[in-house]
Amino acid sequence: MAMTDIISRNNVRISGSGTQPMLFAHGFGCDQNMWRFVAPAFEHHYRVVLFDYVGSGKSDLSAYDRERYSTLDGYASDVLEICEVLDLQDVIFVGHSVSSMIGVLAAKREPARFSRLIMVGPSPRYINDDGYTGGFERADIEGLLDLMDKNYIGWASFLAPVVMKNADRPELGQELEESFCSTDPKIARAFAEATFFADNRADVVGLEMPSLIMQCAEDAIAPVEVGQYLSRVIPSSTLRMMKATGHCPHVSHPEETVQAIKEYLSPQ
Amino acid sequence: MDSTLNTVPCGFVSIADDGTMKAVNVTLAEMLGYRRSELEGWHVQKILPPGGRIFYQTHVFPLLKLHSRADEIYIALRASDGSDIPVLMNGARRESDGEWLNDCVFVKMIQRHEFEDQLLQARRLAEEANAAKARFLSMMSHDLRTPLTGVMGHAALLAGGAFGAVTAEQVESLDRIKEASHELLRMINDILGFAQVESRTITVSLEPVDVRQSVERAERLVRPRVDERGLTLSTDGIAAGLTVLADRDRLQQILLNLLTNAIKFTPRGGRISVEADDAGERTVIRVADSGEGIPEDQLEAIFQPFVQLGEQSADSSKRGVGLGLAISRELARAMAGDVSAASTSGAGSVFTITLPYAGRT
Repeated sequence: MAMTDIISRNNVRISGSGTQPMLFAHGFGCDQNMWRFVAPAFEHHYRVVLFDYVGSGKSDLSAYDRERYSTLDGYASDVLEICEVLDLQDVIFVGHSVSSMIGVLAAKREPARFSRLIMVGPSPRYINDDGYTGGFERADIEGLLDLMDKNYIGWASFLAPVVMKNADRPELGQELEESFCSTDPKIARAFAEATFFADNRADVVGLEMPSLIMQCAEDAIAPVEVGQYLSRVIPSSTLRMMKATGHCPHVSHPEETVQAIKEYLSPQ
Repeated sequence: MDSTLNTVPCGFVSIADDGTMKAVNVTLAEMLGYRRSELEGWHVQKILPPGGRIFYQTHVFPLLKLHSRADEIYIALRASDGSDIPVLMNGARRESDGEWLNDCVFVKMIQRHEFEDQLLQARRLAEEANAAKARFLSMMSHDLRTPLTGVMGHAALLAGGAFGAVTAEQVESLDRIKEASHELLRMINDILGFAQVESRTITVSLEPVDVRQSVERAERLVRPRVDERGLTLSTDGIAAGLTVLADRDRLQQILLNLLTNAIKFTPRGGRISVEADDAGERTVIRVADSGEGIPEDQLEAIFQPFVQLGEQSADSSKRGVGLGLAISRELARAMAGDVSAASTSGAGSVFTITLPYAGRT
């Protein structure tokens, strides 16, 4: 695929004046907008690359391939293709939620391309298993899928473009008016299935990649046991317990998130 | 919280960004079987089922935080007894004493929830059935064509004397086999075409197409049947040099469908005419006949798949699979055009193709 095709397929945005690339990957449910309180803090020292997975944000929906994106491997291929066309080397991959595992898969396929993984609220498996606490039962995930289906029955556009002011940060209002977290319902459902039914434990055990595990307090999606599990099985990992609560510290507590990443990248 | 907000007939909660419920009204507490004091100060996940917690974190909270509001969201709340209450939620973000709060209201929708469950179930079944039907149609039409090609080939060999001389009666019989085979092939092609329409795999390649040339090409193909039935076919009313933006083969297919229908439903000695002219940005092609006409209440129904006028007819030549018009309309629509019908019962029908005008040559 040509460079321009990948750039437009994944709505790749590049900023920053540094040379080492920081590739920010959004999680399930939104798009690269989720990084807007965090990514700018790294533009001075890094080459910041943002993108949308196919099916999210302003990606090219026509590039969606049900088979390719039925597992997280397809999304990892997106990441690697972006790295390839931009010739990214020594990449610091910052993944939120499911993107942490997508980053793991990408780093396992092309380890030489990555220098570190920064995982925000990661979980290698969401469903409880023998002796493993993922936090959910299969029926819980089916409940989520049901919620998604219902939200797409009559008001399928509820996440699609709506003209609205951003009262919190008026300087961002203009751009957000265009589109916010727009997702195609069928693709969103398939992404949810690929995410929450995945089991990536075999991929993380013994992973040889320096990794930061950012574990939020009271995270309903990735409970603390999961963060502890990851820090046990990834030898060169650092577990950072955050004061931030919830699952989206980069949105709810951007300052603490930025600080945690900076401290990891440039320890005093 | 003032007393009105406490007792309004909808639940209300004010949630901080860290998920803490800062204020809860009595209606919400009672709806969930709690006292207000058992909710205020707790994390919102206390009142959400597991799937709802994921949905809140991945969809609702980002919307509220980055978009300042969330409208018409279906979510379930978990009551103290473990039951789930389906609600419709609206949320808006505001600043209060230097802190950002997300105000959310919840309206119970138990009956609507059940209704939507039925809708969802019905939609899933319909989608599955439709996919199975499309697969079946596509497979069946492919599989039927192969043996039919064999029948037609061997009939032609026999008629051509490849296995010895044939009598006049045998030639007549072989002609009938050939004719019936062609009719069957046309029906199979219709079904396959319809399967493509259904699976949205129609591809069109648009270019300026000369209308008169297209009509004349179609006319050559139907001329034998027109003559055989003693009909008059006139194409004089086509403006010279008129072109449309269309897919040449798809337009041909539509014209053939309409002309075949006109021939089929016009009694011996009747008239068929094709006229075309531009009307602003559109070009209009009309295929008119002096046949028996179509009752007014059938004018739309005939474009539905598997519906056809000759259904009740004792005359088997008028029967088909009822897909020609459905396919024609879908093809025209795929080219940004349409096909419609008008008729006066007993005084003929006019089928109108509209397509984007592409100028005159």
